Amino acid sequence: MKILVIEDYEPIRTSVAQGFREAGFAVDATGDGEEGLWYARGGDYDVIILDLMLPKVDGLTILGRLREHENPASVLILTAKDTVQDRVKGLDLGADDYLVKPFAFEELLARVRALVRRKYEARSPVISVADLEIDTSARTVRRAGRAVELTAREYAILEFLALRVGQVVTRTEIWDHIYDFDAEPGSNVIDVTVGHLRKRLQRGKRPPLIHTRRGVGYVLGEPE
Amino acid sequence: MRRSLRTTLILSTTLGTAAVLLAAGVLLYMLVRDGLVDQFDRALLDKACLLASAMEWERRELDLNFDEFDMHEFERRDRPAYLQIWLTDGTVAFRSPSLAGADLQHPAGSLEGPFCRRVVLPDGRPGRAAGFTMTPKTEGSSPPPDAAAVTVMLARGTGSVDSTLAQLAVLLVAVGLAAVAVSAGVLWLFVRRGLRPLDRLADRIGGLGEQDLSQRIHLPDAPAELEPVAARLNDLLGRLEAAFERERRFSADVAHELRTPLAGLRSTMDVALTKSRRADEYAHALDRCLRITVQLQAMVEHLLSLARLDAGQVEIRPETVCLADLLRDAWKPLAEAAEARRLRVRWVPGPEVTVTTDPSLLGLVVRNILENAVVHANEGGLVTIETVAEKNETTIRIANSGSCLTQKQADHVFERLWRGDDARTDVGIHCGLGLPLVNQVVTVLGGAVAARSTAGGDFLITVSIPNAPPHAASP
Repeated sequence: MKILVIEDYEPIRTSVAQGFREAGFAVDATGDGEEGLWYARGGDYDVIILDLMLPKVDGLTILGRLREHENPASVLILTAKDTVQDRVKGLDLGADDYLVKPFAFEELLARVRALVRRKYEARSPVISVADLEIDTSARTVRRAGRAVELTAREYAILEFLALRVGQVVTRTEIWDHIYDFDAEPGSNVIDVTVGHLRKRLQRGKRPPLIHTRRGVGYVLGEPE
Repeated sequence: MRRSLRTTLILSTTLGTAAVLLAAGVLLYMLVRDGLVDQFDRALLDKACLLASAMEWERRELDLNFDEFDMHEFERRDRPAYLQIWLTDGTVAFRSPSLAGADLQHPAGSLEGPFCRRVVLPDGRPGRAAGFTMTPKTEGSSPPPDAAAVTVMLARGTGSVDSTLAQLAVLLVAVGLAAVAVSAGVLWLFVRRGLRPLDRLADRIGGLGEQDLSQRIHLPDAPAELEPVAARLNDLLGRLEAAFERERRFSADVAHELRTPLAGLRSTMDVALTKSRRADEYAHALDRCLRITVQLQAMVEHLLSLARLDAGQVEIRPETVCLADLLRDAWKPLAEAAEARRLRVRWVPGPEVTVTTDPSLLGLVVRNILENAVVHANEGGLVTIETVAEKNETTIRIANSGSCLTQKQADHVFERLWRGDDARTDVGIHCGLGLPLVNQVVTVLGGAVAARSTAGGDFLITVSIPNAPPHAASP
């Protein structure tokens, strides 16, 4: 999943970005409203974490512009403004959630995960496909009852496929949602990672669950 | 116990009423007593006259001729009256039967006119005696004896008068006491009713809480005397409300401003603790926390300084200081930060200037302005420091390039917690309190400070300090 952090206070921006990266998210971060708006329009973000008091363009203006252009990203407002009027104003302008500073990082993480689930219409944090079980809150994977060890990126791709189970997911979509601006673009980075992922999910003679649609992308689903 | 207005009022008025009533009662009693005694005496004398008129000298014998009168009172045994008649030589001419041989006390001395006096009757009762000396008429042609005068004396018990007077006294005392009691009661009621608005005022004041100072005291039916009290109280409440509101807004702003660095600290530590890390990663997180803490500390210290200045707790210790040295000392700790931002510094020192002022306070002023200039100058920009000596005051001008403030925004820089649009981009020392502190300190030093933003993007702060310390300059 990919998020954008627009926060002008450097210590919060850096630590939140680091925390989300370590939790398996692709993260872009900026401290400037104008740049933030540019990022938000260009990238395919699942969630945007937005501060309100920003230089150049303030947070509510950014939110208004995004909603005007029907940007699909969920927006979580992260601010020191804590009055009811501020919250109502933010939510009425189209924000999906509101968190007041100072905050517990764990809570921010959980709220962002919930926004992601809502976006992909997954009610439960546990997604099951045949004998594969993905717990998106604990970030654990089990196949046939046994735990599967994955790297952060492998997990991220599996989770993205699982959230859109049964649908074809293109390589571009995977690139846009899993890799941030710092990632080196390569022709077969995704193919290699998916190959590793398939191997790790292999359990004896059990049929594979990730299928390739040639020239299009991948789909996670029941064995074919 | 505290003196009560109500008790004092009632007590003094009641005592006054009682004194007046007592005087009136005593006067009345004396008048009635004198009247009664006078009447009593006159009755005695009338009877004596009547009896005397019947007496005759007949052939040198005194003929009494009392038969035609009612002499019953001199004969009865129960509380009788007494009558005695003496001749000039002192021999007793007549004794009423009630005397039973005893004597009334002879009225010694001059016996010309009628006399009345208080006596003790032979049977021990208190009484009054009255009488006179006269010469009875003579019967026929026989001459009266040489000493023809007789002294008549009549005495009666004063029991009835005394009991009437006693009843009067009792009546007067009772009426007096009742009058005092009734007047005290009525007074108590009126005073209580009169003071009720005071109680209501106290209730209203007691009902005021610090939570809601917008309330005012209205006493529509209060007496005119309480009107100024309520008005003054309302004035006080108004001033308190305004002060509380200012404080509340400021503390809300402070809380809001403190939240951001606190959130930075918390999320940095939260994220650092999500898993076990390499030592250099921890060191990095700690370093970041330290920087935020230093920033928080600066903010809190600024707040404390502002609070002390507001409370007037700052003492000014004037010394003669060299301005150039003071500026150089203030610049030293900033030189590194300025170098990191590749800032150029232009010193325009006037002639060697000394001022007599508090060096630590002026140092604080200069340090804050320089800090502000270093933080807000554009990367690779210019900081200009200039001093101008005038006759009565010294002016320090500190400017930085690369400002994007309009003059309208520049007018706000001395407001607490105000920040320009891009104030946060360079996260460091600035927290919206440095320049307000400058403003406050310069005011305490008796000087003036102004901020100007030029069209060329220069932001200039001018501080004028009087050459003499403020308390020496003021009369």
